[in-house]
Amino acid sequence: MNSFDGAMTTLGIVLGSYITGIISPSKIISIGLATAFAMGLSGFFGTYLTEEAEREAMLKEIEVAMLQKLRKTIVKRAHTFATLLVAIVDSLAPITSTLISLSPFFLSLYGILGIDYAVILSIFLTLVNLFYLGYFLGKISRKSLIKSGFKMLAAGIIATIVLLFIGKYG
Amino acid sequence: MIRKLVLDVMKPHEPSILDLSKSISRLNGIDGVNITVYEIDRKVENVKITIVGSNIDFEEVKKVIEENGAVIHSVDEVATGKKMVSESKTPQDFNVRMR
Repeated sequence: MNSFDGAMTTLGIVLGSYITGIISPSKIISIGLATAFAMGLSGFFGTYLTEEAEREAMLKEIEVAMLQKLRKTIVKRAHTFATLLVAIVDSLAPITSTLISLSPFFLSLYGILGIDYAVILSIFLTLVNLFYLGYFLGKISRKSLIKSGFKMLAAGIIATIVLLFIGKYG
Repeated sequence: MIRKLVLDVMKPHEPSILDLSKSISRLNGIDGVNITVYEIDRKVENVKITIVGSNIDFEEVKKVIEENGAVIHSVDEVATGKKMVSESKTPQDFNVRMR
């Protein structure tokens, strides 16, 4: 879900920048990367602290049932590793989504792509990313992959339409 | 030298008995390990661990069991010496059964 947050936030940055006239690729990249870093940090610490608290509670329950401490065992080490791994994944997820959405602006920065095309391509890549996230969720939950993909895509399309509407009439 | 050990052990569900038996069987002097679950509840399971080998090091076995989060409740059977000796049946065993 942090990937979804990253994609939607970056979509908002790109569209918001475009409709307010901030059409410099370097500025959009700077804002996007700063936001990605903040989301990554938030993802890491938020997930780490939550997972650590939940796993600590689980470990204590097992210790009560076992009538012994498990601090120096493989059980504790596995819990610590899992907590770190989940936190790292949760921090990288929004950063990856943001980089996907910002990639056309790097091309624009080096004059390979015009800014208008970069905006269009960024929106397209974000929507594809959202569809893929839904598809992936559908695979995990063993539900219709295409339907799940389109549900996520719908969120992105709604956001795009609303922001463009605000930009035109706001 | 210890040739056979039967231990009553309580362990959390993870690591599984597959992982625990592999860890014990890797020790020197151990030829085979059998782990049977005889009781399960929500958080823990009670298992019987049977270990046979040419020269079992009890302290090493205990260390591996504890490292995997398990605890030895009791040593239920042990066979030591050059030959493996099984439990002998006595008339008292038959009397108890007939009652």
